[in-house]
Amino acid sequence: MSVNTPLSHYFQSNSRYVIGFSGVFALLLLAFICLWTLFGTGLSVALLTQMMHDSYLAHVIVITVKQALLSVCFATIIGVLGALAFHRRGRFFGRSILLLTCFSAMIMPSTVAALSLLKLWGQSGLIAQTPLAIFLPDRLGLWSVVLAHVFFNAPLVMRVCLTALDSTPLSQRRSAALLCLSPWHYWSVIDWPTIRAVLPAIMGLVFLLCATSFSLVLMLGGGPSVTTLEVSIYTSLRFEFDLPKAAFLSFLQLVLCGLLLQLFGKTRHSISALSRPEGIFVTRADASSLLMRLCDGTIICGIILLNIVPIMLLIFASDLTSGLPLLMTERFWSALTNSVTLAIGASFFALILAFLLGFLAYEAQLRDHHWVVKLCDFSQSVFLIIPALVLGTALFILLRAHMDVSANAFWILMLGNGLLALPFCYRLIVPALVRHLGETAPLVALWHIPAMQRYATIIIPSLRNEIGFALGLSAALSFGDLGIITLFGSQSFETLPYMLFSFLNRYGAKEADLLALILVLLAIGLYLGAQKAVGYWARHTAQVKSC
Amino acid sequence: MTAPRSTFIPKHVCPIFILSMEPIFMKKRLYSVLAALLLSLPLMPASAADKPVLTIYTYESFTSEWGPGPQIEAAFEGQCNCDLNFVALDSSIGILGRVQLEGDNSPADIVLGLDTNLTAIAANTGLFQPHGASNAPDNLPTDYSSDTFMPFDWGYFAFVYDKNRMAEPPRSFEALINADDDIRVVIQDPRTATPGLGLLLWMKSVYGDKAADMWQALNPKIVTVTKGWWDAYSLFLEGEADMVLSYSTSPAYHQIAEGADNYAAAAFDEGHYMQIEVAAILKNAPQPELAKDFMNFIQGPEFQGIIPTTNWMYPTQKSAEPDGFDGLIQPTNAFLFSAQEVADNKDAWVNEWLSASVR
Repeated sequence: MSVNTPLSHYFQSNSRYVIGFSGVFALLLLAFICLWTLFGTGLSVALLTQMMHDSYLAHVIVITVKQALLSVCFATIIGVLGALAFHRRGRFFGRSILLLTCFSAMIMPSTVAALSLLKLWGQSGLIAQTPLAIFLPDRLGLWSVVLAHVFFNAPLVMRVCLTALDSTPLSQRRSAALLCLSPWHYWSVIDWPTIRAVLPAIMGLVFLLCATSFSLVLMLGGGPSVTTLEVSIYTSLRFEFDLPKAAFLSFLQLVLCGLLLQLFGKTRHSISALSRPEGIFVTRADASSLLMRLCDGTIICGIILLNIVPIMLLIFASDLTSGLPLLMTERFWSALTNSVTLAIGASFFALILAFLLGFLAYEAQLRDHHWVVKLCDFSQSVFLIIPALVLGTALFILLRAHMDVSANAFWILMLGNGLLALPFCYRLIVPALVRHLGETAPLVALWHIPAMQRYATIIIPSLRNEIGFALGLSAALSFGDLGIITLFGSQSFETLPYMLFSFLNRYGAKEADLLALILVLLAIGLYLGAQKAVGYWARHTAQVKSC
Repeated sequence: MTAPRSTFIPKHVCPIFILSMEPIFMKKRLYSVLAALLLSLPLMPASAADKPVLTIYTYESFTSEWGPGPQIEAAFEGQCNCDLNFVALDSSIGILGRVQLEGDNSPADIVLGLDTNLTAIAANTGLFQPHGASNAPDNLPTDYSSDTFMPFDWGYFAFVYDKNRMAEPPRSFEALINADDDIRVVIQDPRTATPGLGLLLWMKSVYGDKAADMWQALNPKIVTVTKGWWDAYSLFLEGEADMVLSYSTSPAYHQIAEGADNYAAAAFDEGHYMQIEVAAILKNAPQPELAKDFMNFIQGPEFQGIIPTTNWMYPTQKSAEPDGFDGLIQPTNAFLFSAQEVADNKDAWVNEWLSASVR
């Protein structure tokens, strides 16, 4: 080899490249097969021309993009402001509880969340009883959809930005404190560059979540003028049973979201600081002025009003006692078991996929294959854009000739929920994984550490925070998911969200309150439990090895 | 099929407890726990079936503890020497979607819970066979007969209001449209919910070609259009709206089950649109004879007696109507498009509504 061979050449591993590629290939193949199966049920030129001239479809596309962009903007602004306020205040009483409660909005069933929002913002809600009521618009519409999306996504943005801010190098923070930087300088020299690094990825994710939003839009949209493509896909699939149309709309959504994602720039490496341990708090020079205190206090109160009050109202207004007999039924426990096992299975599945994609991203980076990295970025979010219902229907049609699909619903659900959680897992795991593979490559090459041992003793223990967070979040998301289960669920196989959903079809569904609360609490439990378990396991492994 | 209610924690919860309670730092232990966990997942309880099993697809609220399902199951099993298995799906559209997906391989004998707006679409799938039952309904306010689809209950769509919040409700579409702007109505999406489609057809019955203009005039009163009936109804109960699109029988629930008499349906002078719920036998039903027995059973006193106070709809036999239903509104005019008309025009009418609502 010549002297000019880059050092990175020595760290390349063809087998890892191939394994990673097979992961991406499988994902894209699955997406292709899904759409192809549905198209195969009868795509006609007539349908395409009809869609081309459908003025409502054009309206749907415009409004989808508009509400998603508005939601992203507000969620980002509020999330960043919140992160700055929490960061400036450092450690204070109730900080972690506040952060956790904020976050629980993300994993609530959307119908329940919408009702809780209305308890605060609705016409008979808390605000309507105050003099502020004159500022409330009297019809639901775009504003309420955007509000709901902010409620769901601002905590996510906040969490990501806050962790990034908390993990700015200690040296920077010390220098800043010594130099007594003004708030503006602090922002332009330290905060903004840190936040800017993580924003594209999280904004892209929030955009996807808002653009493919469905139940919230139907409930709070105030009519068909505020809608999303996802709603059209759902109606063509469930109500019209027009499979080619659903496939075409999914394809449209894929292209549209794929293009718009470019707006937010590269996702790669952007959230690398996401889940570094929250370390030492250095009091910021700009934190002590009265103005800043007032400012931060207002922002934190705003976040509490926006995100925590609705959840509290939901809990206090709900009738928990009439749901108690539910806990004695075997139906509840079997739904609970199904949900928990499903969540655990799906989160591991998502984790494995994220690792495969991480391998690919790393190897492609060593080889300067930028298009592969792009492919990687795209393929992980494919199944956020292709609705779970489309995936489920296609799988049903494909598999029905070969097996009893309903009896194997579990595996299909695990696949679907895992794919749904992949974009979150990917953003959490891949940047850290790539960084670690790079950092440890010389060591591994020098000591000839075998691959398996490398993962068991180096990579996994040092990524325990990321892995725990990713597993917890995936498990929680999968736990609350109500997508494919509506196709495959029946009373012989149901999950808790499905059970809740099925209660919501009759008069006086009082048990729903308790069930919704249990659902939220268990999702939080899974989210925290996974982090603790992985942390414990990884710490112990590391100790054993170091002896 | 009914499992003992006494067991508090089923056996298959155990793996999770192992996972959470045992220290899982040993890799081998972790793997074996995971393997055991994964392997134990898809084990479905096998049914000990020596009797023939009649499988009926229906919507969830039908089979719930408070719905008609459990009582009907017990009544039919008492006379058929068979095992009746209700499979609960999320909605009536979900039932049709499921049998369409399963095609000829469907394990179901009967679907129960389609409505007359879906029957033409259902008939076009070619998946159903004539029911062959001799008993006919005698309580329908309109002529309805079908060889394939057997009515089991029916109702009128109506706007329900709270007497405490609104003393004098509008008595016609005309009045609703011309009322003050502070009347707030919540309806369901005709593309996703049966009552929503009912309202679309109701407006079409009343206004014909002018329906689009009327929709536009009605729009300022509509707070939101929800995906399902429950979303809308709970928005109404929470006070987000003064009136909700539901059934004329909804107040009977509040009166009989909750003892609350402040809810009522507004009787509209123009008349009300009907919904008839039907059952049908699948062409490839594994138990065709049992299925036919069930079709006859539907018009019997036991089935009909259970329906009104569990499914909150009118029975199809006059004799089965309970006392609490006397106080309900009695529409002078009942509208119902034929199934074929709905199938032919639904898409166009939905598009008309969409463009009127977006304008």
